Amino acid sequence: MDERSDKDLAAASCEGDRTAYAGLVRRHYGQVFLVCLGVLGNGHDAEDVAQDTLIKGFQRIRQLRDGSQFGGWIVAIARNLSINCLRKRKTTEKALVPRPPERVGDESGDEDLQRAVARLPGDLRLPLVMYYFDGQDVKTVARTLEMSTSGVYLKLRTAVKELHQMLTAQGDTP
Amino acid sequence: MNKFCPDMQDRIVDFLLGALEGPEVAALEEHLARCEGCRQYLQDLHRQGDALAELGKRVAADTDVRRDRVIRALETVTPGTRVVPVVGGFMRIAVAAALVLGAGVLIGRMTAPEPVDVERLRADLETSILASLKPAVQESVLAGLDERLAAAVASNDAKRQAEVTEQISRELKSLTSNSEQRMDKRFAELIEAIEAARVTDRWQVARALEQIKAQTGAGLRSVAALTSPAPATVEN
Ligand SMILES: [Zn+2]
Repeated sequence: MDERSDKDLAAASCEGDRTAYAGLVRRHYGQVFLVCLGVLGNGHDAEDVAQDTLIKGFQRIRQLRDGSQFGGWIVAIARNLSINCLRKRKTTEKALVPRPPERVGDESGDEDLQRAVARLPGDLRLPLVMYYFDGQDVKTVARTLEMSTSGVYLKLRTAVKELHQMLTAQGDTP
Repeated sequence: MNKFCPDMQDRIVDFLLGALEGPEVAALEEHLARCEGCRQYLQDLHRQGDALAELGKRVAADTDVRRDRVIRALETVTPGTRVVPVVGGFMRIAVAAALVLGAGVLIGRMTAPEPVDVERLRADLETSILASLKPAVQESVLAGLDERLAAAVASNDAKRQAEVTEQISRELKSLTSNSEQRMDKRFAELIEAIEAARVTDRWQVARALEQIKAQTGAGLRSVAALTSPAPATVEN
């Protein structure tokens, strides 16, 4: 891991230093992917959009005035691109045959849970994914998503309830 | 399965999330001790949380591979040279508010008109605002401002209109001063330019916004709705 600060790495990236930008990618990829996954609810799209985000970040790095804000900046780009992707997907899906039910994760494990998470509305899924998948505390989630902690609690509460309802309706729990 | 008590549901979830205060915890624990259904519900939710964390771990297992793919993909990319400011949350709201403010040109003084640089406005707005304006922001912030401006227009009362504009102007200033860290200088200038133009020449601003709207499409609907439809009638 590159020991330099985000600010230094961003400054070097502005000069076209790919190694420096790779350092930023290493540090922030996890969060960017998680945000994409949270909004999109499917790992394949999330991977594509996360990559797109970080490449756009490099292309636009000179627009970032304060390099120490790279984390928030790149997460904002990730959210916007994910929301755009979601919209496009919805438009395409209306025109085409519906796709098979989405899954959040890989092909193994608890399929019902993966489908249920994928079916949650994006605004509920995003905080849920950050809180449970990554074990982030509510304050961190709130800061990243520029929400109040009470707002995050509200979303989490709704998400937890809806998820449980979906799973019990599927007959997952006797 | 025993059904939980509906009036306890939120408290159980809050307890799970660690959002309950001391006395509430005690009260809930007391209820749980004598209610099988709620106990079961809490246990289900704990299991659900564990399963989510497990799923999260599996999803994260490939992170390194995916990340390295991105780093390889970067080899073919060069950083662009065009400098266009990207706005963060507060600035986005501030700029949106400035736009509505400019669009709701209700009481501009009509002296010393200064032409608005439509091209520059358009370029800045299209890339930075339309691309990044969150639907949530449009809905909550713009709707709120729109409502107040619309009410002011409807009231047909110059004093009320002045009050609303003054109020929004104050909010705008506090938004920008509260977010100095994220503040982009060019956007501050842009806001000032819009604000200044609004005061000096409402028709020019209205027309500029019309043109922006024509070129950028539906994204600025709220602006269009408030932009003077007949500039000829206000021209001096
Ligand atoms: Zn009970």
